[in-house]
Amino acid sequence: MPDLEARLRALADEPIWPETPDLAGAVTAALAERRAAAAGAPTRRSSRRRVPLRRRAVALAAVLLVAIPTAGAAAFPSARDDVLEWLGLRHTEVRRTPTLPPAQPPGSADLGERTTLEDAVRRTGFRPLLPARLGDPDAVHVAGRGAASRITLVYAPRPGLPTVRGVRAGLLVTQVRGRIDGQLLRKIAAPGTGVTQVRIDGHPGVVFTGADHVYLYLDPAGQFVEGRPFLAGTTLVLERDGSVVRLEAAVDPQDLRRIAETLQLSPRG
Amino acid sequence: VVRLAEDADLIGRAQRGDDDAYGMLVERYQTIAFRTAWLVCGDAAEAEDVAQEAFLKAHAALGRFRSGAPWRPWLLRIVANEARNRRRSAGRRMHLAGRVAELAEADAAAPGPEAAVLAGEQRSELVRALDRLDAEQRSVVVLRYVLDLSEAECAAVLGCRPGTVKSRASRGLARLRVELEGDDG
Repeated sequence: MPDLEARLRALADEPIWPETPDLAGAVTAALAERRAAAAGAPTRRSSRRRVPLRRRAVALAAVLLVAIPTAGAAAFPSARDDVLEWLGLRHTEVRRTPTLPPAQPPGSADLGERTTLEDAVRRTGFRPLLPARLGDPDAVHVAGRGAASRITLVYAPRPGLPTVRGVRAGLLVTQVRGRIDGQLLRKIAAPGTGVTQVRIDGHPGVVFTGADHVYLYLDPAGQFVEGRPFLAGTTLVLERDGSVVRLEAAVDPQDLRRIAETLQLSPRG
Repeated sequence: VVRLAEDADLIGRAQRGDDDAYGMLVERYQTIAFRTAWLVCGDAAEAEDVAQEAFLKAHAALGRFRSGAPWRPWLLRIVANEARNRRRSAGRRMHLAGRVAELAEADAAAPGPEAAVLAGEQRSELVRALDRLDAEQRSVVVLRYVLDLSEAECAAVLGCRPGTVKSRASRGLARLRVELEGDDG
């Protein structure tokens, strides 16, 4: 078996490894933070207890996202306000609450009105992206009005898409008009939350695992809006074709990425 | 040689306070550092923390880094020490087998061309055989041949002597061949 070593080396290129996080960005951000602190410049966290690096602010170049898990908000009651202050968002239209309730399995009221794909396109004015490998969704819901309207596609559990925590769904794909790029922002993650910057076919995105969280995106009017997953599974948020798309499922991040890579504009509507 | 020279240039700049140069150095080695940490910790989130902290510790210790020495084994020693210090439970092990099982499930859900299916089966066969090795042999085979670390680097990660790495790797490969032949026959 002379090629055994070659076969072993080839495993390095197989998709069996977890996605490598953006350590370079995180480390340079931490170094900059330390230099600023050493120089006496005020930093938002200088008076707080030290937490491991991944849980402290980490720069995410080119991805306009802020993730503030529920556990983090509980540990640092003003953490969200801190973030909003860093971003200069205190006077924007971001809706804030003192604490974040845990994610609840969505009911039809949360998802919006059930309708058809064609009607959803007509009412929202945009065609949603569909994961091609899954075919048509098992249910389509619409919520909100105008630029704030939202389409949620529900896919029933199936092999590779297990039921998500008591919800009769294997995958939710939620889409709004908006964008998540354009500035350098920061993220906060709490213990137990994995946050990984990714690119899906060249489009910026972030994968969250392990805890509840919220994130911010820019709506078509340039206002920051809070996005919040329905489920507490793996979540992938990405920007594509003028939309912010969120995929939620109880699967491994790599599997969710593979589904996201098959997103195509709905041919209907 | 080119890589060593480029590393030396980046390290020199980083030692003089150039954080961007250090960022470039991190970018070069973040995958090997993260994967090494993951193999030791068995948890991706923990491995991310470990690798970040290791890069920061390496930066803090740059003044003690010997000019002209190879950067990777020095870095991996720090990564391995950090990972061992943080390993949450001794029961954790490499998750390659788990990852391959997940991939096999995904492949089954979305069957691809025949060649892809065959490649997937060969990959699964190899990883299953790896999984049947004892922990010491599996660790050294993965580090030495999959991550392509040198014997000295494996020794740094595993906390043993290079000679031990060599003998374990040799025995591990031999055992792996036997396991694969068993699968074939």
